[in-house]
Amino acid sequence: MDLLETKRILAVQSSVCHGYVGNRSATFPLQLLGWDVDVIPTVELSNHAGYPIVKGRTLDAAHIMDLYEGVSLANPNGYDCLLTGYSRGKECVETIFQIAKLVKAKNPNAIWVLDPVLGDNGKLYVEEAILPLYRSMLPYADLITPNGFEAEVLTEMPVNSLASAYDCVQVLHEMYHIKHVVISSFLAIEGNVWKLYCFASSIGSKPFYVKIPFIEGFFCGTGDLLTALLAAHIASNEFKEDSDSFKRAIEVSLSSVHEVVQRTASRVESLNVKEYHPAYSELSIVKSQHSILSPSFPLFGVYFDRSQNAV
Amino acid sequence: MPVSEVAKRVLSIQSSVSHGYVGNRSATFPLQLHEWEVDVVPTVHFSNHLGYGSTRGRACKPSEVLELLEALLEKNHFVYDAILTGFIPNQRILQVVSKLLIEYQSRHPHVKWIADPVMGDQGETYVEEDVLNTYKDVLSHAFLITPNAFEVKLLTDVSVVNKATALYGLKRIYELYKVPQVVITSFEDADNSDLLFSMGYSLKENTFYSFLYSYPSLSGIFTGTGDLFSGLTLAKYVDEESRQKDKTSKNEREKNSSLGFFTEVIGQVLTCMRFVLIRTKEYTLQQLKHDSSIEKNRFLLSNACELRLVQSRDDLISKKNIYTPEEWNGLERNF
Repeated sequence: MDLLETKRILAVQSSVCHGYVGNRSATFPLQLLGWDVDVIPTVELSNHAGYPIVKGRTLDAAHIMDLYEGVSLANPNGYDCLLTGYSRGKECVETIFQIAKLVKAKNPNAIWVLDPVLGDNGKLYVEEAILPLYRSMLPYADLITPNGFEAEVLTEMPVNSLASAYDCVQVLHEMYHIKHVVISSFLAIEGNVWKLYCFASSIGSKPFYVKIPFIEGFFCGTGDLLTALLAAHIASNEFKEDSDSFKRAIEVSLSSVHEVVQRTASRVESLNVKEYHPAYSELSIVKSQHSILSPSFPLFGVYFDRSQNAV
Repeated sequence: MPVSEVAKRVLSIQSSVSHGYVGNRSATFPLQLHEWEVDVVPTVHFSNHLGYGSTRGRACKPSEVLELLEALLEKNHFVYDAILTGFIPNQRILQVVSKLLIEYQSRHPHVKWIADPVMGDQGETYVEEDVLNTYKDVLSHAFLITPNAFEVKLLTDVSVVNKATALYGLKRIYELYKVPQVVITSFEDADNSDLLFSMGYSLKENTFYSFLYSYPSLSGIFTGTGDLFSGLTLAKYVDEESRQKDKTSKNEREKNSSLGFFTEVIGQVLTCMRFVLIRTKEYTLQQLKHDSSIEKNRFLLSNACELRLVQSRDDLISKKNIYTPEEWNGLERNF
């Protein structure tokens, strides 16, 4: 590694003492990939909300901005990448927007990766009043990683097939001028069969989808892990020799996440537990270092031509 | 890399910073590289370490630390193989931590408490005075402690200024606190001013295995090194212990038993530290060459001196040991 080379990322999202969601899902993988990760927690909890007991606190907007001012002073070179995820309450989301503008003012080349954590499986985690605020942030982001539900909520369009995902992504490009859009996962029914897809598009490139093999089980933190890996691979521009570097970055990131989830599922199976408990399903990130550094299970993207898919 | 079968779950209770590498941030990445599941409870959350001259954020309230520890240790019943403690700014938080930790140990006697009794360095105290009194009350529950020379003095009243006084300090620690593993992480010897020393012991089956290492001192500003030391010691200790158990050759076991594997563990830790510090110093010098104004600004300089942990991945997991323990009559005769 070049002596002076330092890749710096600021990650602003939830933090837990135990387990892997939010910044905990993101930090170790990013560090493995050679990134110096500065972290600002938006909430500091004992563990994620799926456990019987959750304790801890939400940081208020003033506290979050205070920490940002501190790291900004301590890190005069600014950041190459800003990663934002879950935060609670309108004031905090506004503060994150302010931080994004400050990061970009300090380094105009900084890439803002915005994971609009709004909900999943048809259910909103945040108040509806925040949605207009999120929409106003979109034009400033360089890459957004909504899941299917979040893409629907932001655009008020359905996302339940490849064609509808394509249409939704076009709206995000055209209305909000977001350079890279990745709908991280959504379900589509084709004939009688359910399929799980990721749909990705970059302005000026051909859109594509990746079919994701189903793995049985419920695992938290996979979206946060995917967003972190996407941020790492896209912001470092490591696939610039490839004919489609964006597509390669998505394929590699999805492969890594898939391998981590597979390892987690195998571990759960070997424990032979009758009932689901979140403690057993925490992502096996620490035991999957090879999967993060160089995944061996390939997931390939397929270019999508809207004119051939009228449905 | 084969998936390790050894249980490696640690709860780390130290300072947290948003930027840079001290406390939890110094310990977590190296432990995770060794495939440890690391749970983290902050005792303070600052934007950066205090060496910068100023920082944002604040110390955690004792009630906040209590709430998180209760959730992890009691209510959600998480299982740990080790608990690692470091910088704790005041007595109230230390009392909360030690009380819950000791209660947890009584329910899970196998849990190893690795305590870095952070109180100061080179004559300067970082914590409130009454922290020392609480450490004196609770250290006997620790499995391994990593005090520096200044902290040995606070705990035993022995001024460590050379090998003989370091040895005496270690003996007093055992007499007062009965801790089975102790490393004085670094001390100076008036007769050897360009060397630093590390001395310690491990008590196994009623036998003391003691060691002494020396290494050239490296000039420069380094922060978070003690936290890195204790995190690495835990990681290398458990790995080396399980390697020893795997060895089937009786000869090999006998060969290592005279030194004890703890000596080898500390040699590996000192080796890792050396490579990390050299890399860090090279980076700092390059930065200064690139922009000489950095040196005059405490903030910029502190930033340029942050440990290059992320860039030292291969060194951190290496089992290399470039040091040979020193033969010193003082050790053989007295321990």
